[in-house]
Amino acid sequence: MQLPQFEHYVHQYQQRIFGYACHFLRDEAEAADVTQEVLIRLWKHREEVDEDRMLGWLLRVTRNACIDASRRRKAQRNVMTNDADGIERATDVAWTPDVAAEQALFQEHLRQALDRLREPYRSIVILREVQEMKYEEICGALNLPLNTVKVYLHRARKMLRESLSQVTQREAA
Amino acid sequence: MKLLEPTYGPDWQGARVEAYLDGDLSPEEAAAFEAHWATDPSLDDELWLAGKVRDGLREMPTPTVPPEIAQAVLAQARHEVRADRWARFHTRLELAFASLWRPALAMATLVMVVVTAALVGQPATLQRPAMSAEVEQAMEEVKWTLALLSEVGRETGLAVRAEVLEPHVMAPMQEALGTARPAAQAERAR
Repeated sequence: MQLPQFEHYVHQYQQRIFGYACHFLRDEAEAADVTQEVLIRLWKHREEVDEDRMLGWLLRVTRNACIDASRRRKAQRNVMTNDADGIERATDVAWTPDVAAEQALFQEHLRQALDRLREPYRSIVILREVQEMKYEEICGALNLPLNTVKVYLHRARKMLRESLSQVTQREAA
Repeated sequence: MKLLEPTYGPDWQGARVEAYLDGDLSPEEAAAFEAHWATDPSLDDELWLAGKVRDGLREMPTPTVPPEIAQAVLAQARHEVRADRWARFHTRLELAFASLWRPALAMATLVMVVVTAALVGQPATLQRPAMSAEVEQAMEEVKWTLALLSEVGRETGLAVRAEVLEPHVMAPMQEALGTARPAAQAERAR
């Protein structure tokens, strides 16, 4: 891969990598670091990467980098990111009958429920539902068979619904 | 944590709800699902929540990637390309010099022989004694030999320039310095 081709791929895929890292890490600065790291790794391995499977390779590397970053963050801050009490607090503090606020609150609950999903459920939901990628691309990115991706997605959606059904029932009440 | 190999469980209703929302059901399956939905009001809540979750995920804002990332990555790549080009140039230069020393030594030896022969032969021409026919012939042969050596030396010099200096030293240097001559001009110079 020559420099002009690399430049083309950087412009083509940087947003996808950054978007995935943002949703995974929920921290733009960390996501930017991960994106830069992944693109530099692509340059270092440019002779080995199959250009037909570039996106899958990039997202696999991004996911691993995000998992590493997430572990480092947990080790450094020693803070539980899976905050089980978050929903309670968010409900108490932000509840308002205003529709826009309710929508924002629902989004926040959804965000927290997504954060609580384990891997690879979280990645599958981000790639499929947030980034609207094709199943084949997700299979390549996570190195999983198609049926497994579909089953995991179904389970992940069910977990999200179960998390949110408690909140929405409470809000409705 | 190791995940168990997934298999479809008994939650077909949930799966059908998702497939219905995704538009993955065939028209017949969708019609059957809607008929079942009409008889089961509990599906209302499930469909509403599934749709809300799906829409909520799709509406999650994704920040735009900062332009500094691409700039930094590409700057590093360009720097590495330049460094690599210089490294290759130096390698070529070393190779060129490695293959140059033998012809250069041959040239130096030849020049030394010619100069020595000229110096040795000079007094003989100035104070030429009476020579026999054999000596005359030998002198003539020496002259021709020197002329031949001189010609060989000139040819070797041209060959070294054309085959070693130009392609392995001058061209990479000009390429690296960005002052490569057009092919026609280079040919004319040759």
